[in-house]
Amino acid sequence: MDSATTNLTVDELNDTVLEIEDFCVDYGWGETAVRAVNNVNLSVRRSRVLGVAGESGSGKSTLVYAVTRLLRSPGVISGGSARLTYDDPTASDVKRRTVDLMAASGSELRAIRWSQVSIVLQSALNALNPVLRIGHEFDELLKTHRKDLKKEQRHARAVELLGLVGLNEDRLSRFPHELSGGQRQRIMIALALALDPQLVIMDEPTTALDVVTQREIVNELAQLRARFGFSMIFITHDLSLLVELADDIAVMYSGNVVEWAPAGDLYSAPRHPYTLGLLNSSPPLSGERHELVGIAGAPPDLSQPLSGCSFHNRCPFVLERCSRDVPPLRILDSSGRKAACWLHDDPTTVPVALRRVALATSPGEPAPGAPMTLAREEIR
Amino acid sequence: MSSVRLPRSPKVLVGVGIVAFFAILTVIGPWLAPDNPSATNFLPNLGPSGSHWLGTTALGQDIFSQLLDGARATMIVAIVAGVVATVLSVIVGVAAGYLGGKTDDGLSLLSNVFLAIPGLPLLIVIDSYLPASGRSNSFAIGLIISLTGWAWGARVLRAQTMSLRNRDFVEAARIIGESRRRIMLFEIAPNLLPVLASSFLFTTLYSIGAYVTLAYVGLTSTAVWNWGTMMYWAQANNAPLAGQWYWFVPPGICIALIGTGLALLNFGIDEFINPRLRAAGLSGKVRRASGLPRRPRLGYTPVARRSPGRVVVTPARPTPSSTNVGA
Repeated sequence: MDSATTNLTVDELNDTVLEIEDFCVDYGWGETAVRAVNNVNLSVRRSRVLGVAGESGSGKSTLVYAVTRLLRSPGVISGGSARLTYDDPTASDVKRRTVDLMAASGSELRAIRWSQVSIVLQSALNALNPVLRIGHEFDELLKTHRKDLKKEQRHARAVELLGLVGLNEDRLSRFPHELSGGQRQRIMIALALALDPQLVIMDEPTTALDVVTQREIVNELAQLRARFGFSMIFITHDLSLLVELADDIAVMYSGNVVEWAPAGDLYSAPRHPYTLGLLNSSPPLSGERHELVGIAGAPPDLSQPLSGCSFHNRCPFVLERCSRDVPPLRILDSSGRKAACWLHDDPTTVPVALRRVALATSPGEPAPGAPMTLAREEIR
Repeated sequence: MSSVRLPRSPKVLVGVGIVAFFAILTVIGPWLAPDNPSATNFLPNLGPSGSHWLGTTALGQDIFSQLLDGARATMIVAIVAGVVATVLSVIVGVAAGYLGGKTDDGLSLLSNVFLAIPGLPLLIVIDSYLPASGRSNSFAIGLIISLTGWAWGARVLRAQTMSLRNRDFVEAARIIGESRRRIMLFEIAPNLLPVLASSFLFTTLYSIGAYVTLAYVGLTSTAVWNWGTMMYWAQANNAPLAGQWYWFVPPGICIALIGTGLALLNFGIDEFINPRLRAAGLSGKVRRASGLPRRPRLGYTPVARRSPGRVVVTPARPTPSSTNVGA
């Protein structure tokens, strides 16, 4: 944990905190079950940020809730595995432990939760108890997990955590309704970092905030990550936000990961038509303005059986085989980026928009600014 | 997906069965009775036999006929009292909770007074003022019982209404100018249905108890057969001492059964009315069949790999065929 994030060795690059394999989640059981997450493979590297993007209902939240075993009934994990690797703080020497989250018992999960994996939810107002002062929330949390701390030490830690997210210590004596939305979300982030977790899950933490506050919080998260070296899964539907924060981005559509790539590559040179559609439906960060193009149609009804690629009826470049065969998520080039699209099977079928060359960003490097200088041509 | 799905759990079905059984008995019980329950035609103190299933009383009346005949009065009183008390509690509770202020103070005071007064002595006092014709009238007795039974429901409904009245959807209705009555009846009342249903069921149960007690103490007309009068006569003739269990146990069992049935039904009503419980999807049967834990546990999503033998998709070279949605 203390090892700084700079100067990563090769070993550390292959070092993953969370490894998700063939992960499937259903809502319901039997014939009426709806597959909400389908054979997802993802990994979160140590001290890195994995961004998960996709529109509402694409399964991104379901995925992380199921991985952490927090998904409510009728959600059922119907296949696959997820393993968390962390430095066991209770061991005498720093020892790396791997836990199969799908096989973990209730008490094992309790031990990991918040101390190793913490989560920041979208609605901070609902997550904070309206009758407790903010200081109480910190105190409770530290009392439960850090039994050796005395009252003054707990208070000092709470003040320190508030400082990290740029809040004054007088906020500790406030009630949640006395704070603004941005402040509440910062409190949530501070709470999530209270126990030095190795993985912080952010479920659309900035969606309810205005863009200015959004920007502040994202900048702060990037700084905190650089300072403490935790890994992050950042869920959002805002691709341009992700590009600034994430190292890798996975784009989800109707329960499948349709594209995975380093953030800069994905932004400057999307390979899946859906990613392209997402990018074209939000204004570019800089460069020439262009007309915003939405993605026509609506996501498929997951309760109906689907043939072929789940995106085929909305795809502008649809091929004949797209409605027949399901495209696998495959590695496209030496950079290791992946896409699930038949267009890339044959070099001649790749449309210009999906053929752009990625701007040079070293893999794994956060890509601040890099995509800013891009202009994008339109579809067709 | 069907929009309305009746609860199918065994406990609910048993509850429905019991309540339906007694409801039918209310209608056809007196007609089914083999003999006139008041006629003293038979030998006294007979034990159960083929001709008298539950024996005869000390006066030579057929006990089985009394049991069947007594179902009607008992159930009518219970339902009248249940309905009236529930209506009273809705009016008082919702009005107090929604209107607030002085209205709330007054109505709360009223229901607190009724809560504080011990119900049974009050019943006995009121009942003893009734003329004989009133005592034999099931509706009149039902009304009196409802007087002592509404206050608890009113308190619960008031509390629930108060928590609802500041929700966004109610405030929105206020802002667009819906009338108070409409807000109370159409915005708030549907959200009270689960509370209302259980309040009705338990008030009904309370009414049975109250009616049987009144009859047992001898404060209802002895001309009307109900399960309480049966016990009154059994007690008056020393049936428990004489070991004549068939005289006082059957009405007791009937009362206990109805109570059980109503309580079981309450589970089902909650599930049926509450759309969120209805949508929870996985029935107990499905859970058992799939090896999932019986009750969903928050923070512990079940893992049930559907087909362990299926093709494992590797990240590098997946098989396209394994990605179909659904089974």
